[in-house]
Amino acid sequence: MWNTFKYTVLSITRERSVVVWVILFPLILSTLFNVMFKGMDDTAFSLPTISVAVVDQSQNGAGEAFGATMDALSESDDGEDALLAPVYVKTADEAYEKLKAGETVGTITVDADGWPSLQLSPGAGDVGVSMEQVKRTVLADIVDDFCRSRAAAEDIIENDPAALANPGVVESFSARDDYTSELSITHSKTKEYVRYFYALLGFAALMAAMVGLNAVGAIQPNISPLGARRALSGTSRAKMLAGAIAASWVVSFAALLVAFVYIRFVLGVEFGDRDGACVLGLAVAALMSTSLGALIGAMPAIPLSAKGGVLTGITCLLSLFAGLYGTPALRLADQVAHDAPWAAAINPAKQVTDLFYSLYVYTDLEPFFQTIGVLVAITAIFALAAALLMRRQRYASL
Amino acid sequence: MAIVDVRNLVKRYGDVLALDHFNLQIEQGEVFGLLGPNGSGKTTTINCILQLLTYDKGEIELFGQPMKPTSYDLKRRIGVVPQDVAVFDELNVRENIDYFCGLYVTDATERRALVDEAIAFVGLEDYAKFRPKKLSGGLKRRLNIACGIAHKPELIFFDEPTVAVDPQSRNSILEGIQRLNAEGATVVYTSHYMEEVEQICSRIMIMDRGESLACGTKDDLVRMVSTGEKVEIEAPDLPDGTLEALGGLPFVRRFSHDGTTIHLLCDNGPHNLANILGVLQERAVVFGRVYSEPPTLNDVFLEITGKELRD
Repeated sequence: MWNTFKYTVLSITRERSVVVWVILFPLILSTLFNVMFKGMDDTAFSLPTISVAVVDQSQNGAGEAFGATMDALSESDDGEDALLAPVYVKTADEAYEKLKAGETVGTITVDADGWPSLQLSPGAGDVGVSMEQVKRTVLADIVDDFCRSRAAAEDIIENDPAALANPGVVESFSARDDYTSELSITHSKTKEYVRYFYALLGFAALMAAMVGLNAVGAIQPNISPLGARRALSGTSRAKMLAGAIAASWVVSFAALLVAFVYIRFVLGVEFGDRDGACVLGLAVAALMSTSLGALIGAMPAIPLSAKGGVLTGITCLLSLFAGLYGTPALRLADQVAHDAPWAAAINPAKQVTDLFYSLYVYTDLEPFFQTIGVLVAITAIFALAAALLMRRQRYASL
Repeated sequence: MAIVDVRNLVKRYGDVLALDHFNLQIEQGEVFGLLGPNGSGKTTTINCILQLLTYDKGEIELFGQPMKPTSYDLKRRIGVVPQDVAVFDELNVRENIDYFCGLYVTDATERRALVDEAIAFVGLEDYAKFRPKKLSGGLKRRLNIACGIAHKPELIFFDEPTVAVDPQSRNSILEGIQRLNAEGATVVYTSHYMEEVEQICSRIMIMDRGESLACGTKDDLVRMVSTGEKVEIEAPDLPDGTLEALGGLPFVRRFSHDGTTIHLLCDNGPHNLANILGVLQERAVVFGRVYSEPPTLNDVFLEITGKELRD
């Protein structure tokens, strides 16, 4: 068995298709994902500068306070873009022309008493939340905030001018206290894009089944001359199978581990800081992939190359329902999991994806171990089916 | 005691009868040739003997013991060199031989010596680190043989081991088989190359359509067929009556003269040529080169199996 194990590991790791599809491809794909999804990180969001027309009709310096506000908001800070880019115009018509031409998002008109009012572009029937809508909301907030603060200050001056002697009251005009705080109900602050990397590991686990497929296929007498030759030897097929399957598991596990280390430590994708559990999950995923490979490898009367095609097809299809191919696929995967949970439960790619997602999201490890249980059950079914197909030691024809 | 004893073996592929109550007995120390056209049942016979294929009826004993699919103790005494080169493309020559030897010999130290010996036996010392893809067809065949014989089996099956190899490699392979036999191995050799079987086999079976048609030494087989000795003598000037005198000899079946050469077809006999030359000398015929061709295994094979084309 050791002899078969040793040389199966050697032959598998020297096979170009295995190196490319099982080891290199997940690394390449994860690098592409990293480039594509980096911008989806919540912390990376920044609002572009908002262009706004300002018509100042104030008299006797009444618009000074609002002018100072505009100046403060149009200064760039620490190299970042300024929030506002005011375009001062003389007339409302001129401002309207700029709004119509799309050069500005809105027009702020400062009246004779220095009170600002805002006219916004109507939008173009936007569906959902667009950046233009965000800009309009921000402008409205700025004008509202200014008006509320000025009204409050004037009210104090009129009714209780002595209060202005208290520095705390004056500071309160510019203070912006947060009365809400962000709490995470999940184990980690969730980022949507990490799911693609977990789905990628599910995809990689299925692709790793190619290892088991080749190893088991090379033992089948009716698949290749090599299989027939080995079947004539003085070693029992059970021992050869055990060696080949153990070797397949080791190689699959190593390939998944390489992908995990690259995604986790080189690309910096979060896995909920539970690396030990992740490694356990990878070991179980490799077991599942080996049994899947053994099952396809044991299928009779199909050439080995055709079996490779079957495996690739299955991998691509199941990965679709694990959400690998972008937002629509993610929605589809969620929809299937919601409407037909049994379909998600029997999809090994989805289960491997969920394995890592459960570690990332849930504080409790129970969902993780539930998924481990499902994967072990899938492995047992695949292995049993493979054993049934391989149970015969002799063939009516080759 | 027969080292291989097959009795009444019947094997069907659907409606096709591949082996029809086939019997085979091979004694220890023989190089036994299994000769037959394509599809005659040679490889099927070997696969049934080695329990790779199921069969419908019959008994198979090797080394005096019944052969079963799980007779690993018997299988360890057998070497197989299959028709197709069956090695790992990703392993080099040494690794391949070590792997196949390891299926029979578990001790690594013992195996190392056996692998070295097998590499030297097939002359692949300079290619030990080469992968099969880098080897020529002949070298691949030699690797295939090394994988089958490294564990020093007592009984070796060679299934058409010289298909598509050059004459030098073929000669090397045949010499190797003779050496293995000299070292004590019993050899079963299947082929449809007559000259190979003639060269190395001590006993030959001609089979066709799953049946044994003839079995014996080469001389036994030659005696079985009606094809006789062919004699050709260069004699441009033939005196009148000479050809008729030759035709009158009791062992001459056909005679002719094409203007330069006399062509005679004779029954098998030990003194045919001496009698023919005696007639020519009596008549003072001047003759040049003389060719005498006794019946070959090829003649025997074609006469027994027929001349129609096979797949």
